[in-house]
Amino acid sequence: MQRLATTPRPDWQRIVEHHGLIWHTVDNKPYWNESACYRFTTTEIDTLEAATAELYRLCLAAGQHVIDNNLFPRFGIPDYIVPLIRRAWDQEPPALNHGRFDLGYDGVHPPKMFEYNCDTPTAILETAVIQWEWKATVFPKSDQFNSLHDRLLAKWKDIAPYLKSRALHFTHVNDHAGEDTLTVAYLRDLANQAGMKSTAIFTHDIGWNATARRFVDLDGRPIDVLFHLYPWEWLTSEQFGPHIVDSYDAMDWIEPVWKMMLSNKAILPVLWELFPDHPNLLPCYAEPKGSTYVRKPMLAREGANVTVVKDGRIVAGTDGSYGAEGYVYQRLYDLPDFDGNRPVIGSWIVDGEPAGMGIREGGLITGNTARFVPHVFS
Amino acid sequence: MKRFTLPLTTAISAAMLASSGCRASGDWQADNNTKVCVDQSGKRMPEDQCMNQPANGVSPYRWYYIARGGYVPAYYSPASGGSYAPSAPSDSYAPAPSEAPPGAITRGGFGGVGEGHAGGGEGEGAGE
Repeated sequence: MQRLATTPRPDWQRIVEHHGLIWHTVDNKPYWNESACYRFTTTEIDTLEAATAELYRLCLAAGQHVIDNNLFPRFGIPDYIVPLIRRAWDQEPPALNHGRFDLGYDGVHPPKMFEYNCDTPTAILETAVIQWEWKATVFPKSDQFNSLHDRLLAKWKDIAPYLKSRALHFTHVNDHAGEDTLTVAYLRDLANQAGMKSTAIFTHDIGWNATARRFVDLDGRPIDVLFHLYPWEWLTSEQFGPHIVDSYDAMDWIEPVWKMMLSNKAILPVLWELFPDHPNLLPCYAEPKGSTYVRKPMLAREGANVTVVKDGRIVAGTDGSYGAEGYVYQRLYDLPDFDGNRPVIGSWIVDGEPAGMGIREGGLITGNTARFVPHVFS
Repeated sequence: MKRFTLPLTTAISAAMLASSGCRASGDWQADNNTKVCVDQSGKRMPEDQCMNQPANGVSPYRWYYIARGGYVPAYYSPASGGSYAPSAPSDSYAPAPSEAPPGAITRGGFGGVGEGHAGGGEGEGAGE
């Protein structure tokens, strides 16, 4: 595992914008950073791929443990939605079942899982399309751990016959940066390519038809299949949340509601409890143990409200509005340091199959100032 | 070499770059001169906010005039392409209709939490 300096392509901004990455620069600093890349060996990629598959296996076991032992109160999940989680877990409704494991890896020791972002994972476009186009131009003879585009497309085709309709709705917030809008546009392109017809709707525009007991779009048409880049914990905490139960049998939700378990960081202590000393896990507890740990909100995004404690002293922290549901305490992992650049591996999985990776660099906490750096292997 | 066919992604990114923001999915084109009620941030609000002005005349809501062919935003989305001063006699502007029969459909019961955050996606994990 090496970090190499590379020369950005002339006019790289226009190139990545053409493929949809318009949020390539944040606060005048490149978010998409092609002035560097990581190079891995085949053995290292094999290690990451195997760890990803293994972690998915562990997560499924942990989910079953939550179900069997009714651990939902630990997760801050509203009672009214629990029966649907149980149903969805058993019935496995059609889904992409995609997610991103955030891993620490130094090329020497086993990869360690920080968390599993499986409800509304982003950085899909950067991983699947942008870095592949970059590799094809800059390192055409090298390979890249990246089958995300093909696996997502194949998954849309797989599930199409099982959906309640080929007319899909995709919802997201109206974000000015464009990240959510274009992540959804990309997934719509894939669904359309798989033979479906997609319509976008902002989340606040979703209507509830009290007569028909159905969610509807802006034309009043019932929503049969809804892809939501909007977390389950938000959906279930809002005014329309109980209507999810009222209309559940009439529609498909992508992704399914059982992801409320695995995307919640409360799953991390469960994993450690079930698989202590597993080489791909970090010790994690519901209470602080020892004097060196990372405190993470059970439900949070963009690295918000994270506190790093080393030898009893806070050495880093981020602000935010999360944490009301509680925290978990994970052993601090020292990310490898490449001249001040600390990479986190985002390792993708689609329905149990490892699907590639993207790398973001930040400091002690990978937050919204992190940079996406492409990779190759040979 | 793998080729990506992403017409929506390309079109929407181009549209977002070409304007201050992409056309909201809930927008529609006005058949006639239309007025919408907006708050101080320029987002469309239910019309009754403007119809029921306080007696002292001081209100955070006011009418925004959109000429025929302009885009009418969905509720709680920013209005654009019009003006606060009508370019034709003000009585030629009718309040914008809601998208669905009133009463049967309610909106806005989702999205509130996300409006307070940058978005709903999980792009940055807490990797330590």
